[in-house]
Amino acid sequence: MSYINYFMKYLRIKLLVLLLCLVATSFADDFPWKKYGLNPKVLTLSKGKYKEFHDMETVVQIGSVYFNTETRKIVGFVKKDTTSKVLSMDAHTVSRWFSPDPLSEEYSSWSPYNYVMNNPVIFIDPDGRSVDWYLNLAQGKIEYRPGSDSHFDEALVHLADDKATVGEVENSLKGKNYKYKKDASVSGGYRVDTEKQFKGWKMMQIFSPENVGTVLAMSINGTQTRNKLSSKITASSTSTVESTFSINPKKFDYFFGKVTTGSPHNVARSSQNLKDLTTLGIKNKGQLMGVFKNAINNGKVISTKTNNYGTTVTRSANIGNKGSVNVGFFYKGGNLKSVPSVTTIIPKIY
Amino acid sequence: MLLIKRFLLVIVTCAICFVANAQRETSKYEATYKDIVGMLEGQQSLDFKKAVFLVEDAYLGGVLDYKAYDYTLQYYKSLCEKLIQTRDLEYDGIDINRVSKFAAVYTVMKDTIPVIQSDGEMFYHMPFEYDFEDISGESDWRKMFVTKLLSTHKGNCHSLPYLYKIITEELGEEAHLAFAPNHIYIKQRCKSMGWYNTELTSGMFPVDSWLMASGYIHLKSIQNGVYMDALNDKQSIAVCLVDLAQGYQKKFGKDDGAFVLKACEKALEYYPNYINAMLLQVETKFHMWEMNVEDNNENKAKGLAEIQAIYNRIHELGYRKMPEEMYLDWLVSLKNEGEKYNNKKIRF
Repeated sequence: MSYINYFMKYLRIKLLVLLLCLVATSFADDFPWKKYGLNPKVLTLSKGKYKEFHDMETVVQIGSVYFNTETRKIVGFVKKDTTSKVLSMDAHTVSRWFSPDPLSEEYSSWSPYNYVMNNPVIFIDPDGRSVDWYLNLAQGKIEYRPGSDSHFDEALVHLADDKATVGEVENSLKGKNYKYKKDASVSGGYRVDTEKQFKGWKMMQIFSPENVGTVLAMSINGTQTRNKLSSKITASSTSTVESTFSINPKKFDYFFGKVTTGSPHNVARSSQNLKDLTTLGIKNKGQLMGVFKNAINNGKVISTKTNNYGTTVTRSANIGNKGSVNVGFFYKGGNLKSVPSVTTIIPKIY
Repeated sequence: MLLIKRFLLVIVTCAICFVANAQRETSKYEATYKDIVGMLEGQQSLDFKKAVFLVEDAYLGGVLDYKAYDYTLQYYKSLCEKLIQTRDLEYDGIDINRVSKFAAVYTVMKDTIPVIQSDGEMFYHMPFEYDFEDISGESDWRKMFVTKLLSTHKGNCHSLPYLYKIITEELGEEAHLAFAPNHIYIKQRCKSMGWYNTELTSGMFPVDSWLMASGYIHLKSIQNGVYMDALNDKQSIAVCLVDLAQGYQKKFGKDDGAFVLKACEKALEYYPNYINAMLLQVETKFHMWEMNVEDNNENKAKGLAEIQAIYNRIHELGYRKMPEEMYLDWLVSLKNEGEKYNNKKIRF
């Protein structure tokens, strides 16, 4: 009998400890104001990669002791783990490898305390994530469009409306006295050397009517920023406002073999994508956008899959007689009337 | 019988040699301590390059040659100078001469550079890389050393920024050490953007926010100058003094705490918020308190209260241990990065 009592007591203590541990871990994962019933959108320095909330627990470990931060007393001693030396690096040892910042390419030369790259005249940033703005040259004013950050990385300008016709683009260029020439690499595209014509504005491509949007970049401080901005814009310029689908500009890195970090699976897929697309003769973003457009307008539906987040419709677009590309269009929340985003591609070679 | 006698004699001789050797080595440490404290107290000029050498030489028992060390550093200095002559840095600030030097040191440390000798022979100068093996110097404390970095071209966030600072100072410019938890990086100033950070393990220029987030740095610790503050010359030498203490502890074990405590206290005189000195000091004190079983209860309680006060101060200053989960994530990233950077060992 006493044995059973002892066992029950032991079990109760164990359960209590287990419960306490669970509470501690779940609490540590929460935001500090969750206990007040608030769950606001939180902007963090590492965009959620790291834990950035401190002082969530009363008892902390400092070196070899556990320290209660409220009573300011040592409340326990840390058992040294002699099996794993890596796991028990001394608090005062200096030898960390420093993880690279995946966003270090963005705004790398700016202090984290800047607002819109210290240029509030031409930039606005209403949600704190990135510099989102338009200079609508057609109307000659700067404007913000909600959701523009998914289409443009930064510092991009509208020349004409999203669905402007070739004629409207030309009128807009003429209206601003731009000299322009047609860009043979993009159907219906134009090039304007605006740097000469429009003070500090840097040359940009103007794409075919369905892709009109990203046109000018401001030269800000010296050559470096200007170069950076122009390369950024070329990178994102094809992922512009499109009435039938949208695409995250970063996806192009994945499609064109530029993903070299992250899961080995993604890296392998990315380089395979590049290989297959090259075989199919698709060399740039403009051409790939053409494929997407073809897929959504004329592509045969191969599969429709729905999960908790939405529905993915896979459509196939033929590339001459060389092969085809299956394109996954994702409809958020399963609303097939909404504008889908391109999430994945599977190139096939015949 | 004679055999046993002889055997005993050998044993005794060995023991005497051992003791004498250990004494010689601790006296080497005392001499180094004196030299470095001399720098702090003004009897000698502040010389970071020399202080680093002395610390490593003390650990190695005086086998290093200062001239050879200096010669290697002069070679990197001249490589930087050649690099400055042969390329134009795209930078339009008025301090281009200084920034060119910073850029040259960074290039020499992190880039492959083709070098053509006077006889026309060409070779490649290879970058200094992070040593992913035994990161905390647990099995070999020499992993921390600049001299090890110079001879193997592999180092950690202790030796890499030290070497950067030394080469930059050889070129007549300033480079400041700065701390993050378990980490050192470089802070420098230029006209175009003010203070900026140079990270030598992964080779990049991280912004402050990234350092804060990835290092789990508490705001308080920045306000108190514990982390992310540029160290001045005296503070850098104080850091060397604590390096000396750490080497001593690695060499002679934890039980003899007197030297370590002496060095930590001296370092804290010149750099009061030096968190690693405080941690080493309190951990050593705590270890000695644990070992001491002879004292009466009253003294033990008193000792613990004293130790508790230091832990409290460390917490007050903003030191926070990184959450386990985050540290494990970091270890995993380390493994992945290590695989990317290192040649796989050939197994037979």
